[in-house]
Amino acid sequence: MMAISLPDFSRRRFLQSSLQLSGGIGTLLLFPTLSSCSIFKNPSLLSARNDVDNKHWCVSYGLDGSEHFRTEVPQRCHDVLQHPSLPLALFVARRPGTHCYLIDTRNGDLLQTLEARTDRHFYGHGLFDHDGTLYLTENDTSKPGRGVLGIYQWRKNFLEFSDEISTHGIEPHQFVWLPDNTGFAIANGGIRTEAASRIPLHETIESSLVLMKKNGELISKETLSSGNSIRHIAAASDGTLATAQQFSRSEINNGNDTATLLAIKKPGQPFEPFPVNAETEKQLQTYSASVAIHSNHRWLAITAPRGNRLLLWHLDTGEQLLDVAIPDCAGITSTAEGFIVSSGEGGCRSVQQQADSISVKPLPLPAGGWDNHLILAI
Amino acid sequence: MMRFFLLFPLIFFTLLTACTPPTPEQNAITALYNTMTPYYVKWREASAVFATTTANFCANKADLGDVRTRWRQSALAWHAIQAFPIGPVNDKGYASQVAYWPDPKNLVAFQVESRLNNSTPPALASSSVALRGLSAAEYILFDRTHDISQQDVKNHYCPLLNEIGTYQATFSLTLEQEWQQFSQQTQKFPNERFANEHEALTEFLRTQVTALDNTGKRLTEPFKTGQTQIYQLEYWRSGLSQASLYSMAQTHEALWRQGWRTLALPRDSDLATSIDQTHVALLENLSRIPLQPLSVTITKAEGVAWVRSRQSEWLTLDKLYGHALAKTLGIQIGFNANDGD
Repeated sequence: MMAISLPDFSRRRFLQSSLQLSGGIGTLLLFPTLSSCSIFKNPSLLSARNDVDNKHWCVSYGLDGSEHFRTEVPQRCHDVLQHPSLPLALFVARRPGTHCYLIDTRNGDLLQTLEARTDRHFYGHGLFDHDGTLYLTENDTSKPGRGVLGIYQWRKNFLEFSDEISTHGIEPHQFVWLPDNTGFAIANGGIRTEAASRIPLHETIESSLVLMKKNGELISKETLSSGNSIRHIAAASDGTLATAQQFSRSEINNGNDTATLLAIKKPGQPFEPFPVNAETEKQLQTYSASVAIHSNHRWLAITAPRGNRLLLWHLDTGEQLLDVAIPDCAGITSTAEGFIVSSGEGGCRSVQQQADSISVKPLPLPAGGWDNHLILAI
Repeated sequence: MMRFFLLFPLIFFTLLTACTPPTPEQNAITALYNTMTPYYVKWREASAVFATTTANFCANKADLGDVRTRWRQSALAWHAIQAFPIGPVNDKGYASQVAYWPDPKNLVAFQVESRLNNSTPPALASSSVALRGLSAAEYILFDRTHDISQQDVKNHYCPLLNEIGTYQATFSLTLEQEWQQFSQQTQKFPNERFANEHEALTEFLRTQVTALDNTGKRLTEPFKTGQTQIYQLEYWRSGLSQASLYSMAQTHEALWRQGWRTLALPRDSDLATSIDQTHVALLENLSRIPLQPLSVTITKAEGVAWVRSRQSEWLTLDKLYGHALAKTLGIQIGFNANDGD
């Protein structure tokens, strides 16, 4: 672990120190100055990227295409977590990666490489709690596939392992907060893999959607009858959960070429497939990458890199609102207006409601190599 | 006078823009589209002839040899398109409506027989895709579990055979129209699909590399379990396996020669030479007329060796396009689709 000194750069501390220094009228003047400051005004798109030489990068770009930082890292990352109060982001290695990279989002400096413990590797996802406590989904490779949430606390400006709790399932990937941060909804992918391997140990998939309290207590565990691998999950402000599934190749070859690629769980209701047109679902080639919900628009979207499509539905009515071709369609994140979508091959797009239609427009961002998660840091 | 001064630069720049020669990338894109369009026309024509011949065969006005020949021509014309299924074929998942493969559970035979035992079958357009295309017609025309030359057998299968012929004729016409529309709408940049030329070339190359990869799988499928399973070979019933590979190889070579090569040569002449040579070798090896169909020869050591050699050539092409050519053109392909999480 690289020894670093975490700079005193929190907005709160910056404000506090500014208040102490300026006081009175200076404080009043400070707010407009702060609000117009570029790092707070210009949102940053954070994502893991690869280049044509297969080098791995943690990147940040403004939506105008300006590069904020581009930091090379040894392992390919997947999801990105924004710290709740500090200008920090954690880039999490995908399975069977063993690194997380803590980056200073103001300049791209690598502040800490968090390494997985013995007999553990990361699954590319995590969450920061309000107080900065970090949770990461991990594989217990001593019992391959047994999912755990590693818990990490800040000690002397480093993230350090503190504890772990079971995810009550196998191969946990993405997870989201339950309302009020009281617990988690976890997508357990259900495919057992060994350390340093992406090859399934068995052809069976024991996937589940688990709801659990923050202390690890199981609230509920539900499965899909189609046996897909539940990998990714999004939550609406009303507590509705949507999951994106993948299917194993071996099952395709056995002739089962349909898959429930999108599922929904409304508060207090069972976990069930979201009604996707069968022909549409087949075009996705049994693979959906990311799922996102826009709570205000009540939009539900998935990216499908094998089908090269972005699909969008009304969350409540199930009406399909958009089906657009985007090559190697990858990450998706919400904005005030709609979504931003990235691509492993092509350029990024913004999706917005415009009058009676939904527009999909190119963004002036570099094309290709975007991993299938991205976040908009404001 | 003032207006003239304002107007002059406007006219000058308009003329300049109009006279600006297209970029090499734009030329390559146009060439790739122009290479593919005749294949769609040819397939539509072959499908129409197949439909007519099928109707004639069922009315005892054409013999079995005729209808089998027309089926072969239609299948080969389709495989010329399959080498580069950019646009509607990929976007709408059309391929399985023409050729249903792989078919590990022999679904084509099952669906055909089930339908013929159904006194009120649904319209073909709303039936399983396994029933709608050339694979189902292949089963009817070539499968040895029945003898289509016998009148009673012919009477049994003809209603469905006619439906398939009609469906394919209509479908090929629709697809050709959709292709024309797609190619016209996506040749000027930016367009709804591609923000710029690089995005278009990226998707084109990925589509072609995926097609090369899939073709390699067509050859490996019969050996996947460790034992040779001839039923997993595409077109094992009709003996068209090698010819369909040749048809696809011809398209790949044409796309290379007309489009990709123009971009690669100025950047890396060694790479261009390597791809030239690989295409030539593959076409030459696939064009040799076999004494027996591939479904027979792959059960013998010589046949297996032949397949392994062709696999190696496809794999070489796959790598040359997917790695070397992509890198030369600054293109990254199939990042999440092939290796996502």
